[in-house]
Amino acid sequence: MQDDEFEAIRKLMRLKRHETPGEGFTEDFLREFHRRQREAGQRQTGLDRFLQILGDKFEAFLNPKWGFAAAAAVIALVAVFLNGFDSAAPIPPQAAPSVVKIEDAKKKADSKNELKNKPSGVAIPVNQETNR
Amino acid sequence: MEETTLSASDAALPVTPSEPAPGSSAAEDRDLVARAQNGDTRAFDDLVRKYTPKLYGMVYNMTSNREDTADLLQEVFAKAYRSLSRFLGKSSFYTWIYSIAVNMTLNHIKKRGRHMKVSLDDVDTGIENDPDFIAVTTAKTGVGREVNIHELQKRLNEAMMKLSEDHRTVVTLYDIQGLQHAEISKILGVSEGTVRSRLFYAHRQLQSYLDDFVK
Repeated sequence: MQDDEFEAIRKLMRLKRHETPGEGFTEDFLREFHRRQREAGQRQTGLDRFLQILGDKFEAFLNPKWGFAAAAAVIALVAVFLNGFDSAAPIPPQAAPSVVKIEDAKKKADSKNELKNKPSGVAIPVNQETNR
Repeated sequence: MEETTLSASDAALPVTPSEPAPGSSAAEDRDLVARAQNGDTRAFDDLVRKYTPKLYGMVYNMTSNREDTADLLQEVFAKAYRSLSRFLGKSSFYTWIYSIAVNMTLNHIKKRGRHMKVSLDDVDTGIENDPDFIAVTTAKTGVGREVNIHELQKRLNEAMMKLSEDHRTVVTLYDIQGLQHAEISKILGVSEGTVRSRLFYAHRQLQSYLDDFVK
């Protein structure tokens, strides 16, 4: 039904098939293609080839839907990163266990005889000192 | 480049007296691609010869600029040549290279934005015998009217350039290049419904731009 309604306009647009680059275009085009390939081969280093392949692959991201997906991914990463910063912020002293220096822990253990069997070099949080 | 599969019915190519039947064309492409992938540069040359006229037409109708078209088409084939080893044959070569050409053309248009210059090709003399041209020059009353070919060409190109890139693409592929809805949907990576609705909108727009030619 759509085709019938717009048949006249479709016939008009079909006339654009008569616009041509002229005779001999294809062979000239092919010669130019060879010339460009030769030039590119002479200029290109291994790094250039690698960058070109990379460029070809990432050209897909010029498609808007992939651009939006990439932007969303970046926003999500930034949010996670910032959230991680917030988590690392200093916690008020009363809420957090203090990590006691090994020397202090040793002294305390020696005095209380609690670290006799523990391996050296282990930092023991104060509130985890056990009543064993 | 994402590959798509085509069913036998989807792979219908526009058949004109000068074009081979679809089945033999696809088989010929498979042979040429295989040889080119094995390093036979003459096989790739044959692919360039085969697809340059069609792809030229597609790019030209999208850009209305002959110089840009030639340059862009060089880049399309250069990219196809570089990527040929990654072409696995899940879709036809025809669909694959058309997808490359459409995507690169749309990127080019987006980059150029409002700075697109029009530079038109010549119109071949065959137009005077084209039934569609005769239909335009003959009013419903049967009385002939004079239509200046170059003026008509200018108006058609101006109308095309008023369309958005998406609408221009479907008009180019469907009306001008004669591709089927299914083929277009594979090339563009959209549903057939989307192709049909874009065509409907585009035709409506074109009708308003060119109503003095369609009355």
